[in-house]
Amino acid sequence: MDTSNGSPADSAGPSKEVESMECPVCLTAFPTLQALNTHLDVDHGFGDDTGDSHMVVTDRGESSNKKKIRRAKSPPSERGTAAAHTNHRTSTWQKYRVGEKCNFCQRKLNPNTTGIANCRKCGKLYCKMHCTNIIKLNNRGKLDPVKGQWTSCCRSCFSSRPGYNDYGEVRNLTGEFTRIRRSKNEDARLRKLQLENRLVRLIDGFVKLYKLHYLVAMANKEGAGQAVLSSIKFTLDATNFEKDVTAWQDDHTVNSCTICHKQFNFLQRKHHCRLCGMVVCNSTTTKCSNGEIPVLMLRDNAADLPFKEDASLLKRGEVKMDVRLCSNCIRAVYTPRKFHQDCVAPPPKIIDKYISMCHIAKVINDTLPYFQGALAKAETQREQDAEGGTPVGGGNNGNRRTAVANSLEDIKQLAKLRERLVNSFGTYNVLTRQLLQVPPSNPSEQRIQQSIKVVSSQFVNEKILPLRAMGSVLNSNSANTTSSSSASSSLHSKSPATQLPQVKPLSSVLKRLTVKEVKQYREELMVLKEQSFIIEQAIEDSKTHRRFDEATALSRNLSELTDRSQELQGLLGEEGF
Amino acid sequence: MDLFAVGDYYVGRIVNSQVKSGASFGTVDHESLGGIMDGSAGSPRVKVLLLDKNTTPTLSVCATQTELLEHEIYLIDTVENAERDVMRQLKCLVYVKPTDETLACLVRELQSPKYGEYHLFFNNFVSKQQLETLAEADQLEVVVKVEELFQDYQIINEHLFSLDLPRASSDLVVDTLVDESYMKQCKDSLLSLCMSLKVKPEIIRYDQESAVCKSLGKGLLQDIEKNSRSLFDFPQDPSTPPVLLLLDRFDDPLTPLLQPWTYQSMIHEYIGIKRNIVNLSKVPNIEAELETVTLSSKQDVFFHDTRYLNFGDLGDKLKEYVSTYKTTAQGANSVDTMDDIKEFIEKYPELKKLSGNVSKHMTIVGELDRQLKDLHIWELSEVEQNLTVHGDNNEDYDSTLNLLRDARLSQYYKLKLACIYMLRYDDFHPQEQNSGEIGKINEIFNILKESLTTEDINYLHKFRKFFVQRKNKALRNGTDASANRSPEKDDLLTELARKFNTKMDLHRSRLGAKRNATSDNVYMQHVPKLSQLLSDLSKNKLSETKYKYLNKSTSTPTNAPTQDVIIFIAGGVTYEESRFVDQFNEAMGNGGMRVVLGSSSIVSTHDFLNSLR
Repeated sequence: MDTSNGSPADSAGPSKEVESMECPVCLTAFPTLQALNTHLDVDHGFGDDTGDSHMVVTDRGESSNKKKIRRAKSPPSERGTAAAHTNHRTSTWQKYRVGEKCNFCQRKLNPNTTGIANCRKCGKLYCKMHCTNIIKLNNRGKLDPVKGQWTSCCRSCFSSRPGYNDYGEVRNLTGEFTRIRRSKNEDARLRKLQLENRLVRLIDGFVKLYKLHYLVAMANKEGAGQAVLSSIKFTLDATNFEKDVTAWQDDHTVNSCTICHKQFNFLQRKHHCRLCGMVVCNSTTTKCSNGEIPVLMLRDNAADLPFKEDASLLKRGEVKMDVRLCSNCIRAVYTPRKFHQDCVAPPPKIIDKYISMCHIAKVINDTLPYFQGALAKAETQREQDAEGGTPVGGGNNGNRRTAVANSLEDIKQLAKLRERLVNSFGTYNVLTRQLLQVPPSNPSEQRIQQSIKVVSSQFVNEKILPLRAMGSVLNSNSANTTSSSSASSSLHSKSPATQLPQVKPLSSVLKRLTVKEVKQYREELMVLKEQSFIIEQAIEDSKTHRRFDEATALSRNLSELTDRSQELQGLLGEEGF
Repeated sequence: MDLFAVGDYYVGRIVNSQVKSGASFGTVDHESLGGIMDGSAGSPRVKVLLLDKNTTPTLSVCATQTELLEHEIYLIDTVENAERDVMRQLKCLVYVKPTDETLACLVRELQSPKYGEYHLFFNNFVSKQQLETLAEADQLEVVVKVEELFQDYQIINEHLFSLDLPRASSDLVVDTLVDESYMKQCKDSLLSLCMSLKVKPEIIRYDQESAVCKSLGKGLLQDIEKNSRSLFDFPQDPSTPPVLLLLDRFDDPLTPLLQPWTYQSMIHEYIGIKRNIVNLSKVPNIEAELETVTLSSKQDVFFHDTRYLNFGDLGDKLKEYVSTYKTTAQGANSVDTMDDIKEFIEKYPELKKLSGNVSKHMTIVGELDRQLKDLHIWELSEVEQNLTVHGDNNEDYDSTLNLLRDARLSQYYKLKLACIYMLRYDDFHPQEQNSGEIGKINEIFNILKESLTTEDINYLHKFRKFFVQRKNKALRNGTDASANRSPEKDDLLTELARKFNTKMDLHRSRLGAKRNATSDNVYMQHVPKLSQLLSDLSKNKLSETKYKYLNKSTSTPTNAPTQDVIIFIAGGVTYEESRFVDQFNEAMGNGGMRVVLGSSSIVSTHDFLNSLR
């Protein structure tokens, strides 16, 4: 099969020698060689091994003559139908003319060397080597996997079959999931509403009762005895009211806690949940009902509920009521509230910083393409300059100056962009450092910090490269212009060596540094520090790997860097970090 | 049928997960699904990735840490870990296998969610009941997406997958009794494979001698037919029905017993590679940073190119690699001017990566070489290979005995050598005690009794009995392809292997091993049965008595060319076989047969021999 796929001409060859006369494609047995040949030609569309191009539509008469001869040889019945098919299909095929190229390998087609074949499906011309896939087609040249005949076709037709290069089945269950969830949660939502209603009634009721008993008593300015009495009355009324809001489960029918199913006994007492009325235990381990909760707390944590009574009485601590709720009710009423509160709560500092970092990164990502475009422009400009530039003499570079003047605007633009980028990187770095300095509140945050650290260093390493590369453009240009305006606007952070002669006159002219310069030097210093850090690491690394020659070269560079950064620090003086 | 592409697709699906429509967290919005765009989709949001113990290895092979970080996945944890911190500003991507255990964890998670929003991905079919359980638990409506991906298997190479289910021991004794849960896992994983490749196996064939294959095939067929309407309705060309071929490791026990000689398989044999991680901590004088290294044929181009090379070719490639590195490093060494240093800094990360990779491969190859010498593998392997390909002759027998007597060879290798001999030449006719064969076998036992423990001797007896019975049974059924079939000339891969092997001689001398040079590579003479099977399959000549059809329907044309083939070997596959499949696929080229090979596990000689104990 492999060889038959490799080349039809080859496959037809060896199969003739096989005594059983099997078709190499469909494995049907044939009594004679001729029958097999005919079968191959008709059913599979293969030519014979002389490389004859009878299946190729040609403009020339000679090959069609050949075709006629061949056709005359074969049994008329079979040939007749085949010819009918062929004629019908071939009308749309690409015709062969001298100089036509194979649609796959783009080689010039030649009947003798490459062989010529039309893809039976798309009809395009190919050399024989590239038209060897087989596919089932019907007699109109359309894909028909069931009733079609095996015919040769090109690779693109073969691999564009439905399902050939398909992979990655997924099944989205979100819809079904939400549907099930909705139906399942319907009951829970109703239950939650019911419980919330009861909670509102309960808390409002307490306040009302309080007003009734205490405030009235206070207004009447009755004695202490009366106060005690009203307190007892209040408690009694409150209990009755609780039972009124929620029908309490009958104690006697219950032997074990509704939630944890522990048996009640002398120590394991029965308690009623004030919202659902079920009997639960007060175990400290299972927390089926976690003690009594102050009403104020209950109200505050569900502040969105439509309470009618004012909270001021509760807040002043006058109504001191504690209510027992079972864990089920707490989960139903309070857990969702807590969850949504957490979700909309301001994010932890780390996340907050991270979001700002992302914004800066976005700015950098957006600016970089512009910058790179401008850089490419400047570079071509410079090349043109270099080609047509006059030799740079002592005071005789007026021509050059005019040439540069045109690009000066571009360079200013470039420098501006660069400055913006450098500033962005600076902010990005600062943010990263701040983020890393935030003390993590839990191990997860710590791990997130570590991850962000990796990402940010990767980001900087990746994006800062074009900034480094552009140093040379600005330098040479600014060196040529020698005007301090463009020199100051360009930031030569990356090549201190070439910049050195410029900085000195600058600093000698201006005793006090402008804000802009301070900024510029600071940035340069920052980059220098970063560089020396990288080199230090590299030195460490080469030392551990015992590549000492590398290490010495590196340390030489390091000392150069340190020199420069010290110089800068001197320049900056008090303005330094 | 490139599994890496499948893996990448699924990983991308997980890490890029976004909710296009419907309610984001916080807004309980039931009715307007498909309405509002999620506003938070574009804004940066730190993501958590939750895996379970099944998906961790699957994903770690497919995606690197860097890839995950690029997609703002800054926290990776397992569902099983109950000690995770509550961070409700985070978005959580869950990728798990829908097992009951994991489901229980998920239910717990959803009842008290630790993160703000959940995207659930399952690596296999989720039953309706499981979905209901989850939906019931999700009272806070934190789940915004549920999706089934189908990658319940590990991707090792482009055409090699493993289920990482080492076969339970004692299978040797009770071959007919099949572990139910093991079968179910195999079946589910294979179904997920079919789904992920969008292949509906129209033809399932199995090794008729293997009870495991038969029941596995039946289970698969049942499930496929049950789901054929809803799931297996891919656009497919019915003229080339995909084939699923279920084989049994015991049908070719020789291949996993022979010492391997290609890079990937040697690492597996001598050092061990699991989930793309090679543990080098046992290598003497190892540097701390090289103790565990990752080796992925997807990311490491050098490894991708060399994994199928034999040890000799590998040595050459590595030499080339090192010299490339040296020239690159040389350039970096001459850092004199500021410009140079600038360049150096730019190149430094790349250079460092390269140097790391070079030293990694140097270490591994060095260790392999050391073990080869220390364990006397060169001598052993030559005899092993000779035994497998030559007919019965006294020369090989004598060298076998010599090796068995050799005190330097470890017990394990002696046992293995004896096993190989038994497999090849033992006919086990108890009534013919005095024939020459039996004498030879007895002699081997006598020699081994001096060096091996009684346990090992018992094992050898058991091994002998088991495989000889198998062989005899196969002979009775007339289905043992190797017994009544002379090797054919047109076996594509044998040819390839021969071509491949001739190169070996050239390199062997350079490696310092002084062998008497023959025209063929003596270490890689054996060709796995799989190779013959592949060429038979490509010619549609695969024995129908040996590999029975499970679902041969009348509608599928018998003469259809075979195109997409999934081969599953129950009980373990070797990297050597993976190499053959890879070469086969390459030889077939575009448009030919495409084969994906897989197994319950990838076995080294140790794994295989021990699995029979």
